[in-house]
Amino acid sequence: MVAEHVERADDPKAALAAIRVVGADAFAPYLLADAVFHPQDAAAVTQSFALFPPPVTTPDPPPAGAAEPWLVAWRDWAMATLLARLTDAEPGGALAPRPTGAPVLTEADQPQGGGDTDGQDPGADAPDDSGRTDTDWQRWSVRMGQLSPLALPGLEGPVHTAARAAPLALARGATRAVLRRDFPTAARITRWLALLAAEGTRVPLDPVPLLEHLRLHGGGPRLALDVAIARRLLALETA
Amino acid sequence: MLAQHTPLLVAPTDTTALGTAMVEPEAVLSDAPTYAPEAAGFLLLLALVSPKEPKEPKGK
Repeated sequence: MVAEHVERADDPKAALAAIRVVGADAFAPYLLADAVFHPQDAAAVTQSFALFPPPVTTPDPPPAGAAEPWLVAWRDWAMATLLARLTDAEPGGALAPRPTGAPVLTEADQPQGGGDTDGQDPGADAPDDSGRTDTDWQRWSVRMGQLSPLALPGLEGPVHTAARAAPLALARGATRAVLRRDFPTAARITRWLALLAAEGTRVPLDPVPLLEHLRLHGGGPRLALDVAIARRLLALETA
Repeated sequence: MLAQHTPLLVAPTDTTALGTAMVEPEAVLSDAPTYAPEAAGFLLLLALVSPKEPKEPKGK
């Protein structure tokens, strides 16, 4: 499936980059459905890592380091880890090192001023690297959404521990994203809720009708992929 | 595989663009509906001046 995507592309470089953008979700058909993983698929992913090599050293987690390279490092780690698992590679033979840290959340159970206010530009509250603390549930949930490719079975790490520790913050984040009509972000955060629900954790927001709402709204192929994976996690789709 | 036989050159801008695409930030602007009480009168006016529902023609 992955190799076929590269083979058919007019621009192989863009196709290989797209594999990295999709990230670990490229393995979802092999983890959650009955797709067969071929060695050519592994070769395509390996070539993507060769063409766009991840940093040798892992970036520091925020606030010590910038958020963007750290997020990319986690996503690369997820993809490399699943590739190693699917190809039965030796332990430690992953193509990307494992970063440290997880999104930090403080005051998880304290609503902070009711969240965004109408008419204000939420972009002003977006995570930044200017030294401002960005550990409230609004920014934390967005950051967890940016790490949504890690919300797959077979992956485990501090990010998953952070998600399990704060289902309420995830539910708030998903609700906030829906109210902002930022449906791709809502779908990404809902994936964590779906993973927690699939693990048997009680989540304060039922992800099933939320996923249906997001599916009906649409919002591009990435949202469709996130919703499809979440529905698979919840065993809503089996065909 | 096609890509294995094609020389691929990566520019620094390609790497930067890939990193940006992988981060997937939230939407900058919120599209949340805002409360607009002054719109109530306008909506009421629209409801009053809107034409009636068309009726099924008889005799068919």
